[in-house]
Amino acid sequence: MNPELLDPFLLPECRPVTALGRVLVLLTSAPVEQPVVDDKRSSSHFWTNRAGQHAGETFFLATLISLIISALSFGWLIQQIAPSSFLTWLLTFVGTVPVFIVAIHVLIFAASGIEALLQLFGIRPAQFPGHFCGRLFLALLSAWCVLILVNAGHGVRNCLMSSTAALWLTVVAVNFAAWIFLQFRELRQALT
Amino acid sequence: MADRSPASILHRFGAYGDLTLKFQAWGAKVCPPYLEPLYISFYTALAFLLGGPVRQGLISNLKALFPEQGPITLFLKAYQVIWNFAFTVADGTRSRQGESVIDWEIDGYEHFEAMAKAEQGAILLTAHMGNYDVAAPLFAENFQRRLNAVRAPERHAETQEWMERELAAQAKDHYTVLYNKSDRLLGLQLVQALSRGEIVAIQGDRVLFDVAPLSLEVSPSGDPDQRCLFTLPKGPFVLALTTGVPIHPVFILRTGWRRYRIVALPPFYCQAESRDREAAIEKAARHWVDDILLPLIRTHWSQWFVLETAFAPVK
Repeated sequence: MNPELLDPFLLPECRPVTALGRVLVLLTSAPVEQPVVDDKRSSSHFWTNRAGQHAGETFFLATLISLIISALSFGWLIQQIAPSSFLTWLLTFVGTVPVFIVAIHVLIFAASGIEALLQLFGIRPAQFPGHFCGRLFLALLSAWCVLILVNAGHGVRNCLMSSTAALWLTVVAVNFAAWIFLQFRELRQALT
Repeated sequence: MADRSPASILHRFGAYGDLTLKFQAWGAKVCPPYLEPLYISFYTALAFLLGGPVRQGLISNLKALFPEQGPITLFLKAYQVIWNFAFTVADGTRSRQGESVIDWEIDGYEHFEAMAKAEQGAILLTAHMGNYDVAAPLFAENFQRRLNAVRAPERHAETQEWMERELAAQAKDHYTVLYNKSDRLLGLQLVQALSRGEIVAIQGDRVLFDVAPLSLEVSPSGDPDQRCLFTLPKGPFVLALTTGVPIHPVFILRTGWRRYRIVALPPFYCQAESRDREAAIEKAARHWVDDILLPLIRTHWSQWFVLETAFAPVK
């Protein structure tokens, strides 16, 4: 076997993608131990050496983004329909699904379009497929949230959208703070 | 000239159409890993609800495996198979795009290593489980021996053309993909490869197109009273009998997010004890189906990606 692939300590659990995830791993964890194999038969592991694929973080991010976009879709529908009866509330709840689907597709198509445009201008970040587009997706989502906050009116109907937007922007700000922290840490390590 | 009628274009958007696969490959190019579960959930539900024949095929296979379970449980189980299949396809596409995304673990390492060290050729018999398109080049790289992966051609010419291009892009020195087309030359090619000490990887759980079939009466649920007819390819056993090489059962199971387990089981032979070659083939095939394949499928039913009806009623 190729010995480079036989490193049991390069487990994916210790490789988060986001700055916040990296800081959390730094603060909470000792080196991750090799998991105990659940059966008694002989078993060897060979893990590929790759950058961040933290399963928990991946699904946390997917769930968080889903909830944020669902809440924004629901909030937008409340603004449009202004439900007052049971039927209109039901319509708002049911309508959230197609609005959510349209929203995630608009965001990903827009991100992909921007990436294609940037490539036309010669901007090609050295990242694997999907990673740069993903950042553009998150940037667009953040921009949408900023717009919501800027245009937020008063009243209960706007409350859901603006509080969701504020929540997402808080997550973005905390991640940015974690990134700054990591940069200072690297700088300090480089200087000592 | 290419057929551009609306029916033809719609056909290309079907479950086996090239446009569906191209759209999925484009999706993997633009979608970041942390958004994959979001889009996969949506498209899996859409494909499951719209793909009637696939859904029916899965439910029929699961009903043969679990006859005591009700229609709602079987429906949900069929969805779980499609869900697993979607993640497997996404992982495969990402790997083909050059990103090393999969973590592997091996169960039965000693059998795996024995196969790698042997100078004799070997048949690697597997099933439609996990990411065999991604695993095969990895095996070849680690064995440092040529691995010939036999694939059934795609149902549509456009899909076949596209798939050949995609797989050619991941071609390695020790890895060749051979298509089981109707030109009858494949058997000869495989015998030559095995004689040279190479490995031949074949899927032994489904018969498509012009492949010599072998039908066996089996009990998928393990209950001897519930018998069905299961058709599998005869080729791997004929090859093993002709060349005398061992058959290594190897399965690839998805165990989590971007994580797969390779299950390598002890090898077996297809040897004629008398002049009756057919009896030897049937004995080996029966061992493969009854002792290896069906117990594994019963345990890992959510990973068995045969999307057509596999078990027929016994007449």
